[in-house]
Amino acid sequence: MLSQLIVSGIAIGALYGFLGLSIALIYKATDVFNFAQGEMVMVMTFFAYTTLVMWGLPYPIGLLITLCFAALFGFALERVIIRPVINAPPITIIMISLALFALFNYSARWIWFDETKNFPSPFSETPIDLLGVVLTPVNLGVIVIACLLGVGLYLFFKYTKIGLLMRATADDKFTARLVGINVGNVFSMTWVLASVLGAVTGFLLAPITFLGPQMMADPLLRALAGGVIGGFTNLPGVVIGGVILGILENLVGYYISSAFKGSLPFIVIIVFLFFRPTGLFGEKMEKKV
Amino acid sequence: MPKTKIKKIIGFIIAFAVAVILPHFVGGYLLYVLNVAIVYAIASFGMNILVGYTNQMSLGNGAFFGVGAYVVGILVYKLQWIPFLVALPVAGMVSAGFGFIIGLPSIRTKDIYLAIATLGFGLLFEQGITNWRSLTGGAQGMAVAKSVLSCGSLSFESDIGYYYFALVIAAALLIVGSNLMQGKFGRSFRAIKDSEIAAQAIGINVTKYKLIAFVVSAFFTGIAGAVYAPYISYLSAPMFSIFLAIALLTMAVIGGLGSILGSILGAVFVILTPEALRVVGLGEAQTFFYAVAMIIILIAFPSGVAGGVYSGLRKIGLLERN
Repeated sequence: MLSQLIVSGIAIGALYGFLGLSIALIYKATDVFNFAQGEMVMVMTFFAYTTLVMWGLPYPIGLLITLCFAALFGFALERVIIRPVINAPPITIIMISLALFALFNYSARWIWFDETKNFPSPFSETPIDLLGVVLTPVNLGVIVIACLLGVGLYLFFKYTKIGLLMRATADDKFTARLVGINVGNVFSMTWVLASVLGAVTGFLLAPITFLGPQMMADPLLRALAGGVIGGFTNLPGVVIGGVILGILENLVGYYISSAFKGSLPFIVIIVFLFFRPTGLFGEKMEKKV
Repeated sequence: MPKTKIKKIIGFIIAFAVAVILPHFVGGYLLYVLNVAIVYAIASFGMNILVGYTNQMSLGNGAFFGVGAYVVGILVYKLQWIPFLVALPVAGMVSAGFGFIIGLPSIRTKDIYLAIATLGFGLLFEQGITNWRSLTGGAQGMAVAKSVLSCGSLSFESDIGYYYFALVIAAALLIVGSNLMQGKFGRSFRAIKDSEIAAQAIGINVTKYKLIAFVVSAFFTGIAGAVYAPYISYLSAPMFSIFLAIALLTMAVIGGLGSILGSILGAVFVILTPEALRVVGLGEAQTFFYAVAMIIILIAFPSGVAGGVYSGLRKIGLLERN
C-alpha cells in the first residue's frame, strides 16, 4: 500500500509541480505572479473538451489545436493586459491577476457549463503490475510524461537560443536590454511557454480529477504550497516541492485522517513562510532600498 | 472657524439629513440593496486598511467576513448563548484572533507570499465550514432567523429598521476607523506603505504594525459579517469564498486605495452596478463586469474612480487640499 500511495502521490504531485512551474516561469522572467494561471489551465481544458467531445475530433488533433489555442491565449493576454502594467508595483499586478482569476472563472461558466464532467483519458483502465507494485496506467503515464517534460525543459533552457535569452532576461532585465535582447519578445515567449505547459497540465490532470469551473481551485493551492516548499525562484525546486506535497498529502490522508489532508497545504504554507520563506532551494530575497 | 471647516460641517449635515430621509423615498428592493451596500462599506474599509493603508495583500478577508457571520449564526441563533448586540464585538474579536494568526507570515514576507498565505486561509475556511457539519450545516448551509435582529423591545427586522441600525453601526465604525487612520496607527501604516526600511529607520516597529493592520482589518470585516448574517438570513461556505475577497478588493481599488470615502463609494459602486445590470437584463454578468472594471481601472486610473470625486469635493471646499 505504501508504494502505491507514493507512486500516485508522485503522479499528482508532478502535476501540482508543473502548474507551479508555469507560474514560476513567468514570475522569474517577468516579475509577474499570475494567480490566474490555474484558471487559464481550466479554460484550456474546457477548450480541449470542446474539440475532443463536442466536435468529436481524434485525440492527437484535439491536443494539437488546444496547444495552439493555449499559445495564442498566453501571447494575447501578455500583450493586451500584462504589458501595460509591467512596471507597476507588485500589489497592483497581483490585483490584476486576481481580476483575471474571477474573469476566467465566470467566463467559463458562461461560455461552457457550471457543472463537473468526466474528461477523456488517453490511458487504459487496466492496472499494470510492475515489480510487485500495482500501478494505474494514468499514474504511470503522468510520471513518464512529467519526466520527459522535465528533461525537455532542461535541454530547452540549456541549449536553445530562446532558452538562453530567457535565462539572461530572468537574471537581469537591465543588462539583457543593454546587450541587445528584445526583452518584450522574451516576455511574450515566456507567457506562450507557460500557457502551453499549463494546457498540457490540464490534459493530464482532468482525467484524474474532473472538468468544471472549480477544477483548479484545489490544484492551485497545492501548486502554491509546492512552490513555497521548493522556493518560487528555483524552477526544479518548484516541481520537487509539488512532488513532496503530493506524496505527503497521500500519506497523511491514509495514515492520519482525510480531514487533515485538506488543511495540509495551508499548514505547509504558514509554517514555511514563517520559518523558511525562501523555501528549501530558493535564493535569499534581498530588500531593495 | 476656518471657511473650509464650516463647509465641511455643512457637508456633514447635508449628508446626515440625506441619510436619514433616504429610506422614506427608496423602497422595496432598492432599499435592500442599499442596506447590503452599507454593510459592505465596513468590510471594504477593512480591506483598505491592509491593501490601501499598509500595502499588504490579503485574500483572507472574505473568510474574516464569514467568521463574523458564522459567529452570529452559531452563537446567537443556533446555540442561543448570547444576544445579537453582544455578538457583534465578539464576532469582531474572534475574527481579529484569526487575523492575528493569518498576519504572522506578514512578519517575514510580503506581496506574493502574503497573498498565497491568505489565499490558503480563505480556502481552508471554506473547507472547514463545509466539513464541520454539526455546527455549520455543512454544504447545505444554515438559516439565521431575522428575528435575532432586536435589542429588547426594539426590532430592526424591517428593511427601514435595519437601514438605520446598519447605518449607525457603519458610521460609528468608520468614524473610529477614520480617527485611527489619522492618529499614530494610521501614520505608522502609511510610513510602512511608503517604505518599510525607511519606517524602520525612523523607529517604527514595522513587525508590530503590520500585524496590527491584520488584526484591525479582521476586526472590522468580522463585524461587517456579523451585521450581514441575520439580514441575509442564510449562510453557506461558497458565499465567503475567494470571490468575496476579490469583490472586497475591487471595492477598495475602485473607490481608491487608502481612503475612507473611497471605501464607501467603492462598496456602493460594486453592490449597485450588478443590480443596474440586472435591470437591463445582464444580471448573470456581474462578476464578469467588475473583473473587467477592476482591470481597466488598475491600468488606466491607478488612484481609483473616487479620485475624480475628490478633486470635485476639493474644488467646492468640502475636502482639504493635499
